[in-house]
Amino acid sequence: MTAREKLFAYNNIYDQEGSNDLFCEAMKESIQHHSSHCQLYQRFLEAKRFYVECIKSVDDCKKIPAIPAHFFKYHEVLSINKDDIEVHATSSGTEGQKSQIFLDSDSIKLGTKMAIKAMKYHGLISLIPTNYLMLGYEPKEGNEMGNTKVAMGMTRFAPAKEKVFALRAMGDRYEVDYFGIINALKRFNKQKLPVRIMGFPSYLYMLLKMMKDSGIKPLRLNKRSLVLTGGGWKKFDDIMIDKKELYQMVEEFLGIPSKNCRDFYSAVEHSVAYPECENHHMHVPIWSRVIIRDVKSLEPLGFNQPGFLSFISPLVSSMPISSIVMGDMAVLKDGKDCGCGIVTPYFEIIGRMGTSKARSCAVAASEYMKGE
Amino acid sequence: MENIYRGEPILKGEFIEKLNQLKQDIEKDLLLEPLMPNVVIEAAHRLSKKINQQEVVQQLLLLGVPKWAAEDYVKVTIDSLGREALAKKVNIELGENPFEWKRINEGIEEKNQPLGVIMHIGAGNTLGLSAFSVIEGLLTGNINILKLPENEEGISSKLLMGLIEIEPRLKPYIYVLDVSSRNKEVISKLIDVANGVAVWGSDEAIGAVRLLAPPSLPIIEWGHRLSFAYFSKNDNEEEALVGLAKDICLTDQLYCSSPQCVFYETDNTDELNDFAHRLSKHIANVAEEYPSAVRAFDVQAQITWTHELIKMEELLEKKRLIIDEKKQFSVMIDYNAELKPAPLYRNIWVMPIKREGLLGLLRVHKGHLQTVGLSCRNEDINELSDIFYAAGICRITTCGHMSIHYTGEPHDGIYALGRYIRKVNRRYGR
Repeated sequence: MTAREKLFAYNNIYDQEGSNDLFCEAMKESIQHHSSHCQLYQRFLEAKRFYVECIKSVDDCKKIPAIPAHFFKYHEVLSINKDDIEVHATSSGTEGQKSQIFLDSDSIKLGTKMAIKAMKYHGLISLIPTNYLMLGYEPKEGNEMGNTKVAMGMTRFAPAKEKVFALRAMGDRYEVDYFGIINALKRFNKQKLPVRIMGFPSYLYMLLKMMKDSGIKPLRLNKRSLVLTGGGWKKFDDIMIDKKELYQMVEEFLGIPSKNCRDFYSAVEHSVAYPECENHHMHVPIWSRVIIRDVKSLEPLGFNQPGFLSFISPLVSSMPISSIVMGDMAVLKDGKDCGCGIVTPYFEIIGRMGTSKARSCAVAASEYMKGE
Repeated sequence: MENIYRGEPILKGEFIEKLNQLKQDIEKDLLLEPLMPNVVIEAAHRLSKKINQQEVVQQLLLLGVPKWAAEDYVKVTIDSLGREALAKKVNIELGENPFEWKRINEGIEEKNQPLGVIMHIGAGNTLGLSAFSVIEGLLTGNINILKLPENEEGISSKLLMGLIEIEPRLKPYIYVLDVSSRNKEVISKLIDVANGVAVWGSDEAIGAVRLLAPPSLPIIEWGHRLSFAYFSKNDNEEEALVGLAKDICLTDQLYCSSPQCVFYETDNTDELNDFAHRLSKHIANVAEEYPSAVRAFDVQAQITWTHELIKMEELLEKKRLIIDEKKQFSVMIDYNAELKPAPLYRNIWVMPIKREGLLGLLRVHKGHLQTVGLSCRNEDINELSDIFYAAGICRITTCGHMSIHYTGEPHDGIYALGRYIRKVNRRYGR
């Protein structure tokens, strides 16, 4: 059994201290694998003068050079044979170029294990028949979005009685089916079974806002219902509201307790999922390390200092994404201050790069031309 | 106090409460004795003498503007408000005595007439720009309603209040409201009373106004533009590179007229690399004299991100990064030519180009093009200029003068004042 396999078989998913050595070994295996199976990655490490031998302890993992996630928007980079690709996923961006991610059966197997363990840890697995409201795209042929795939996978954690999709495929495009959504919620309300609402937080907000504006009587859904959001606000940044405010609206209009609302951070370029704890913090599990990097030097920063969100994980073997830096700005916080019982650090996204209104002509022109 | 209602300072909430009264107030004022350009020019001239230069410079320093840039900005502001500059502008753009009747034919006369009410939607990118937009509206005799941009720190309101104090006759012609672009209800009400909307800013901002404004309302668009430098081998290359380095450093590439890319006519990689290295040396020299200000967090993040992506593509030999040790500036070589914005703040793209494909490459961005800093042999000037103008470029300058404007220069190819008036005529007699 490889260290990587052992790491993903490790029981306590937030025991970083106990699994440090395993993580370090798994990272060595991962870097070794990518550099010997991906020429570009080998050249990358050489250019940065980094070698597997540089990793001696878990702390050294921070020094593994990170690839900016957007690179995968424009380049297909593999550490396996094309024949071994099991799943092809794209990022869920609604416009512009999408990241292309290819997964082999090994990565999928470990990823599935990881997801089950995380869901189990947070008490999100249930045997009671459940109605699903999916605030995302209805699956159809040709939809390669990782987000849709993950959402579908997530419906396996409680037996589905019915699945209703907010974005219905109409020929070659998608349309929001408002009446379908409201009717489904009313139906679910009568049936009294637990409901799971999943999808983009922006869509959840729009749904709640519509209920509020049109004076629909607040629903009292089963108390064991869950709201599982992920994928961020994307192009709806301008209507973004605070998480707490959103969860309050969920309580008010759907009757689902705030502690049952869990947002997930996930990115196709990284593949480890970060569910919120009951205090709504995204703690780092044993399968990855989160590093916040200085926006100028890319050096690791301590707690509470803003910088680039950067991930290290041996999860994926099909692409050299073991050390990656995201376009998100974030801070890392000491997990001991959370109070939920998990003591690993947690991170908070503070914004996407370049979304602030810089005072410049050209920046705005650039936004236009990139179509983002 | 940032909000102004009919020349009087007012709280934002009170302004919004008065929105229902606005229509009546304006209808009364539209019949006032016409406002003549001279009244506005004299007031602006006196304002320019009154501006406390040190105070404004201090204010700009607090906003993170480098000292030399702040001083330069204040000087340009004062110069452009002066009597001579404004009188010349009016004369060039509207002709002599623009608001007097002029005989066209026997029994037929024409004159200029203000549009009436102009709503100005300001952009935050150039400090105090909104006040200038309003002054243009005043020079043409219009009633002006200014929606302030974000991040403006009250500079425009202060300038306009200064103008009102000097010349109380301007009061009925000036309204300022600090309201968010998202407040569509209020903005729609302001648009309702306007005869025209002058909008400064991004395509997004202009698009939003187009959605709000009725089809019958003229929209005067001052959108964002892209500029670049173009080099064809010649004997004065070094001198032009020094000028270009100044264009890059002195504006931090923030203006529409600042270079985002440099195109070099060559198909030889070594020649291009050498050119890029020469440019980087000149930038280093200029940067020593004009050090850059501390960059904002998100600005730095954007720059680092672009650099990291280039470093990845270096491995594929598609791009190349030339950067100084302190990461104060960079020359970014892209071996594939494409007009695109740089991450600004002294980070410039360099690309190889062939003259044959130039027009097509530029025309992709028609409607967004503005200035070319050109360096070439004299005998090539006409051929290249023809291509640039045909592609949609409005200004061709020498390097070192890309962001230097002359009094009365058209803005993005247009005389602004002409957009704020219309020609009226009358036929009389039998």
